Amino acid sequence: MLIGLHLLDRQILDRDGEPVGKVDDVELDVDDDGTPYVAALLVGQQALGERIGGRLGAWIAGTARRLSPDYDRGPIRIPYDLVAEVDSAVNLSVHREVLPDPALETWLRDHIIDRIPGASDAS
Amino acid sequence: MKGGGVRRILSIALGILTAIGGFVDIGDIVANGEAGARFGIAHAWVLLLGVVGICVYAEMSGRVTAVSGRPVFDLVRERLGPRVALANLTGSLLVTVLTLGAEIGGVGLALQLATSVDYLLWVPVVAFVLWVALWRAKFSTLENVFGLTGLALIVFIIAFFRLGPDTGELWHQASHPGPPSGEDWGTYWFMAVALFASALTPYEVFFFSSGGVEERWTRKDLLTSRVNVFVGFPLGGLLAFAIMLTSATVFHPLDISVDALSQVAMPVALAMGKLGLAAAILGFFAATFGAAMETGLSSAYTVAQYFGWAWGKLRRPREAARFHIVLLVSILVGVAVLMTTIDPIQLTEYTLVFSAVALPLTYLPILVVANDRGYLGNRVNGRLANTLGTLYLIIVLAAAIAAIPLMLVTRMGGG
Amino acid sequence: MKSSWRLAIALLALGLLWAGLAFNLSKPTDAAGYLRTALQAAESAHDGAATGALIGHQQLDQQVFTTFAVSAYEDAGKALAGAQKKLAGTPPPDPASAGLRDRLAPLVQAAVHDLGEAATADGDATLRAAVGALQRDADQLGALIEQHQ
Repeated sequence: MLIGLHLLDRQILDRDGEPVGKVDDVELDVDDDGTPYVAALLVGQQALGERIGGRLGAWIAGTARRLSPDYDRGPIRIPYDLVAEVDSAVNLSVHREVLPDPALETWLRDHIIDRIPGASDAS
Repeated sequence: MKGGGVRRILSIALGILTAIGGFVDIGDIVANGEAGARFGIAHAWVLLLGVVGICVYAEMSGRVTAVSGRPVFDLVRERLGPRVALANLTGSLLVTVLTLGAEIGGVGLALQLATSVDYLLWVPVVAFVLWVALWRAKFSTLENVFGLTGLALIVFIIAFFRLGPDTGELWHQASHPGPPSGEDWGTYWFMAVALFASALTPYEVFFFSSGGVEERWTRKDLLTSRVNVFVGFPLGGLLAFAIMLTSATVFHPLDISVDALSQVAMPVALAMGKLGLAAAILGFFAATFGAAMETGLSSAYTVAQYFGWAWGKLRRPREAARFHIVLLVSILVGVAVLMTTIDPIQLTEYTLVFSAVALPLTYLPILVVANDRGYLGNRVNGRLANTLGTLYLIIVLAAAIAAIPLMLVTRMGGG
Repeated sequence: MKSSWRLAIALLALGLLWAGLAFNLSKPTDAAGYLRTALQAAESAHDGAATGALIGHQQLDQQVFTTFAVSAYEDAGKALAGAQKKLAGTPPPDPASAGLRDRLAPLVQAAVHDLGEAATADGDATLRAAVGALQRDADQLGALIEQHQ
């Protein structure tokens, strides 16, 4: 599998088909034979910014880091074992609740969206 | 035929009607009214070209969505990489948010025509109602209501026939493309670019494919998607053409140029009196409000799909907090642009120029993705779709390159 | 080093663009430039006057309702105001241009006046008179444009 073509930037869905994020970057590791393999998917604007690089990438990553509750938390890391299938999206075998919450989503939900009437009603 | 079959036909019919009413937005109204007044229907071919173009690309994006279950913009990043896709996102978002501003202004203008209360006072009200609609209401219902009400624009077709048009003269204009005396080629081409952009506005494909995902289209829905595109859009284009025709019939012989929404409605009043006028204003209102919903959602769709966030109007807002914040901010930015007191008609003219510049950003990735067997399997573009797609890409590129120079040389078509 | 160069070049380009724009805006108009501006003003005034006449006709024929007519007169008024502003903002560079202005300005003025009359007319007779006047203004403006094109 070509990481660049089949994995990077692909949409990640949880077991119910709910969006989790994009494969913003991957974490590579080397096994005992010296063959590199994908250890984890990295999700979040911080990982994305670092991959884009340059001044723009640094700005994106910096903003994401500042918005996260803990400056050194780093991007969301999804171990590759949790990937069930890769088709037009990366499908996980778990529910998204077990993954760390994206900081921005949580903050916006708790501080703004939840305070508006009707936030938890289905339309 | 069983009940299910009837219901399916009804739903397809509803889709078509919605597509017809939804095709026309403030850009189409302004561009067609202006072009008709200044150039007669010497731009008829541009409208035809634009409608075929939107059909070709909307069909592709509908097919991509039905087969892969993914909206087009989602796939753009996978195929073009995060950097190019980010540039793409920035361009499309800028144009879509400006268009949103123009549509809100258009709703305000339509309300001003009905109440004579200044449009600027309506803008905050419209923006709030728009936000509430997108926050709470059942979207498919709203979409159908506004799409169907937009059909009131049919009065322009009736009005055209009742005006007793000089068909010989109109035919002469249509078959001899070019500027009439008193106008030059620069303004002629500027108007052509604006009209072309108004038919191919980028948000239409984002909205179309994202809507398909929300309605969980599968391969079985390919037919629905195609019927909507190939029947709905051309008939919608016909409404736009009727606006051009009435404007060409009334204003062109008098050498009056059109630069206000009230003027666009006048031919209908002339032909059909108060009732027709009321229908035209209702049509303006529905078309612009419907387009405001679509552009608002499209802004949030593109951002959320680039970053992979949860998106969609079917989710509870608290489950798509980032999506709803982008939506809210887009509406606020649109309102802020209008609050500079820029004339909404002028804003529309600018958005059409910027749309033209951003068109290749939207359409090139669609063509690339529609040829990708990884997503589409045996449903990739056939020879016809690719020939037309490539041809349109060339036209779109030419329009994008020419748009800004033409704008500067003609001073926004001022001559 | 490389990025600071890039920044410097970008700033320089921006500065030049700005200077060019400023020069373009502040340089005194020549006769040809004035003619173009005056013609634009005349066309705008013609559109306003002719549209005003059209609305008046429609009012007389009971084809429009009041709220619409009010807004439509307002829009026509904006076209006329734009013409006035354009004329006032550009000083004529030579006697010939001044002559053109002296012919155009009163026409625009008359159109503004007649549009006001039409918009505030309280009976069919006054409205009909105002519409006739607007039509004449539009015709005269049209003739002036034709003559100078």
